[in-house]
Amino acid sequence: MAQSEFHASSEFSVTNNTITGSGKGASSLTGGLNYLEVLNLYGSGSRNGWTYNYNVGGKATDDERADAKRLSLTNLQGRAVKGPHTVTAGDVFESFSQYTLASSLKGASYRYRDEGTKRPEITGVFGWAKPRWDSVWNDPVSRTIDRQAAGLRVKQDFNGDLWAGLSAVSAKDTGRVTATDALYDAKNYALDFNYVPMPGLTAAGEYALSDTELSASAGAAKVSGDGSAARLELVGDADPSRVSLEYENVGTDFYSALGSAASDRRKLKARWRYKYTKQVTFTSGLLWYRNNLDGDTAAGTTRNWKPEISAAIKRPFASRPYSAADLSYKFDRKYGAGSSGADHYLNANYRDRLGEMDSDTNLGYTLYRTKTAVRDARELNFNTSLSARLERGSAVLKPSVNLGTWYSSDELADSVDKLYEYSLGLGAELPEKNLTGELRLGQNMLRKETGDDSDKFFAALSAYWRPKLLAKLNDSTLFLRAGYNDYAFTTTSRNFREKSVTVGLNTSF
Amino acid sequence: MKKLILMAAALLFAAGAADAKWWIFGKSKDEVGFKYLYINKVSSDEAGPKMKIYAETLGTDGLVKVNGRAYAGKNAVGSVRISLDDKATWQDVKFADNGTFEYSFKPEAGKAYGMLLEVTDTAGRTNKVEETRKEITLSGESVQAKVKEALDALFAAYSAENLQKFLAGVSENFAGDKAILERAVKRDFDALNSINLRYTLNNVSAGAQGRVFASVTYSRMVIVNKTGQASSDTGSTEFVFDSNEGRLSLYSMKQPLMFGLSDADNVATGAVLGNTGTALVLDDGGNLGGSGQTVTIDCRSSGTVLKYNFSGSQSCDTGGGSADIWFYTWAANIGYATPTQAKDMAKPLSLLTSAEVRDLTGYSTPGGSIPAVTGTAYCFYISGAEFHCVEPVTMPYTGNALVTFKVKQF
Repeated sequence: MAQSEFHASSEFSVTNNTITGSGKGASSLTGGLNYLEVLNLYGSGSRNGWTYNYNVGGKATDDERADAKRLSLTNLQGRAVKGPHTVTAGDVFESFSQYTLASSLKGASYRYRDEGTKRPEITGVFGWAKPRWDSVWNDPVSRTIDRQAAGLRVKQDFNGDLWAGLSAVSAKDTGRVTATDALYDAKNYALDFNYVPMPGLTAAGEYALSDTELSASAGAAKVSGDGSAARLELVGDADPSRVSLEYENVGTDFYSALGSAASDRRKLKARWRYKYTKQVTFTSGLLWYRNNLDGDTAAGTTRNWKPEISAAIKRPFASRPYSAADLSYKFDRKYGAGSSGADHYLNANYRDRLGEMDSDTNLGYTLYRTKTAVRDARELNFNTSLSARLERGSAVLKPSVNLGTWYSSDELADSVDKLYEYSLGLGAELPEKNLTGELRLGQNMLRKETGDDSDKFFAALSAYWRPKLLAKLNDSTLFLRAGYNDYAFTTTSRNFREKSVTVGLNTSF
Repeated sequence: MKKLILMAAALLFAAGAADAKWWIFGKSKDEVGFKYLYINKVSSDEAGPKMKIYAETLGTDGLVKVNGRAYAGKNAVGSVRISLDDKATWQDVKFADNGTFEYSFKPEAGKAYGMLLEVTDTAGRTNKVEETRKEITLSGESVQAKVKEALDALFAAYSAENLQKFLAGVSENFAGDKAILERAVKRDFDALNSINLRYTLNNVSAGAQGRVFASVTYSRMVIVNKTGQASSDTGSTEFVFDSNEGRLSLYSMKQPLMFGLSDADNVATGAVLGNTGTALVLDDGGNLGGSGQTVTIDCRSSGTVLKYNFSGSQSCDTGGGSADIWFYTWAANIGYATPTQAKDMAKPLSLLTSAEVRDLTGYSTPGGSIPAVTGTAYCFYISGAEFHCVEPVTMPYTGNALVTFKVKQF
């Protein structure tokens, strides 16, 4: 017997932005009245032994900063399952391994997975690596290179403790936008695994190869290369310790069109988290990485060391049950290729409850030091916030105050910059009226010894209301968002003001 | 450095003296428990006590799957039981000889399931049942809502320059490395203020492995502390999220970057298809570089023609040529040399797409000058390989050799 479910959600809003002042070109808002509609449909059911689900979504707007297209399809996916067979079409996101396929395609996939048997899991995928649906039909505004992708993965679970996967992915560019676009023909092959030799200890890794050809294009000659990438991670996790060791080597010529890889990087990382007592946890770590693995970079090799140590302390003061503190020291050493820097980061954070108020205070000190006169500065930042949740009858009030400052002494420019910030907020919840809202206002003031000072004053109001009538029909919320920003600079021709009001309806069923 | 080593040694000594077996990475071989346990493909160790599951991440059968491997040390596993109502009722779970098992149930939207698992060995010993407790709820919201929730939290924490909150939304498995991203974001915060970010979703795709892909159109404005000037840009970028602790956390980002502009090469793993520019980046000195920046050329004391090369250099002169582009004080034109071609885009720089810029239709013949007004973008196609667009903010005029314009590479 056929069964089915259907859900829909929609958010429609209208925004009116007013931007004034001679510097209004710097605003990131679009002036005037604009609308935005986001619609999503989701359904599922079963028929003839197949279970299926689908989702489709769209966006409509006349604000070119919200989307260059007035009307666009945001998602389209159908999936059907029968026994061990799964077929997906539309938006297909099959994650193979990190270095081979970790990106979404527009196309189709098939997966065979017979749970409870020793048979391997097999996944095949074919499609186009387009960032959005409009690009698929080569819309002139969002057109991209045509990148055709195909992949196959076989994953075998050996005994519950060990699985291994073999992946092969091909990405071939079949059409360029302009003569300057170089076209890739890239193939990636990988073996990845996960092994749990004993409870609490996990080993995971991957070895991948790439075979890449970059076609000749206007102004550039054809290039081809082979590369490899490897990663290995060991994680020991059981109270009171969690220890992780990572090694990664991504060759200079390794290229993954559809995976995730930072090329030309060798990395070692160790991290140890240790619960010393129920109240105190220490974390220490060391990260090292370098580039120029093939030695061909004209500028030379850059090496980085990043050790760190931190402590998280619950109840540092026995008499204060809600107190908590975090202390950390981090160090960055970067040298080579004409650079030489040694930066120190110190940070202290303290949280507590003072009567009905929750407090959160952060103090940071950063020392930037370079031997190449790139950045020699001392910076101090301080932020503190107080917030409360007060119940008054059926209403809940949430007042808050934030204060912050940043001080920077730049030794190279021989100048001091200061930033002062404050904001006040008041949130309110009226559960009986199905109403929530927040008003926040504040100011950021940048004071520079040389260069433009700037002041930003801001005020923002948001309110969400679920009327009973609409709640009876479906799950709906009316909302209002209003904002005012006033930017003032020493060079007054840069000044501008933004006023923004948005009203909308969010509904789902 | 010596002090640091001494501190570390003291810490190790203190740890060794304490009654805590920090050196034991695995549990005792004789305990009863789970070698591994997954709930809807998320490791139980990594999931928090509350798990919110979205319909799109379930299979088409709508089932939550719990699978794992029970172990009992020297003894054999006697039974595996599961409770979905906080121990009020228990159900037996079938398991294989090696302890592996799988259990599925169909959740109802909005209902909270107090799930616990119990393993008993043949000698009657059981695991610490309370340690397995998870509260599982099936959200009625779509995966778009889940992506929006994750992105809203990241954008809000970044705009508020709250590093702790920002990192809470980043996966431990972040592909570019979480520690590198952390330092880069900290440097971003020292370099920028009044960060204003907005986005809308272009494309969302949920994968069977719990990962979610999101493509967005963004619009942002920042004030750069070094110069005190505002800079804004608009574009498209992509994120991948991991399912972790019942919510989505950032797994990878592509160029153009939204976060970690201070170490873009190491933070980003790849570039968005069609993106050929570098958007906003911050150099080692905290200066805004890349493209999408605002440039001012002041020749009020030394010239009448204001010259600019897209590599970033500028100069003052009394005649055109010997630069990529130049502005005249006596005419509202932008000059450009052969073989550069120019095109009037008839819209602001912030609204241009890469496809529009790279469409060769409408470009002039090489060399010449193009009439220019403020608020409109003019694109230059250089030497058959590069596209740069500029939007004048203020134009020079006779007696005032000063120009400000935005520039972005496509």
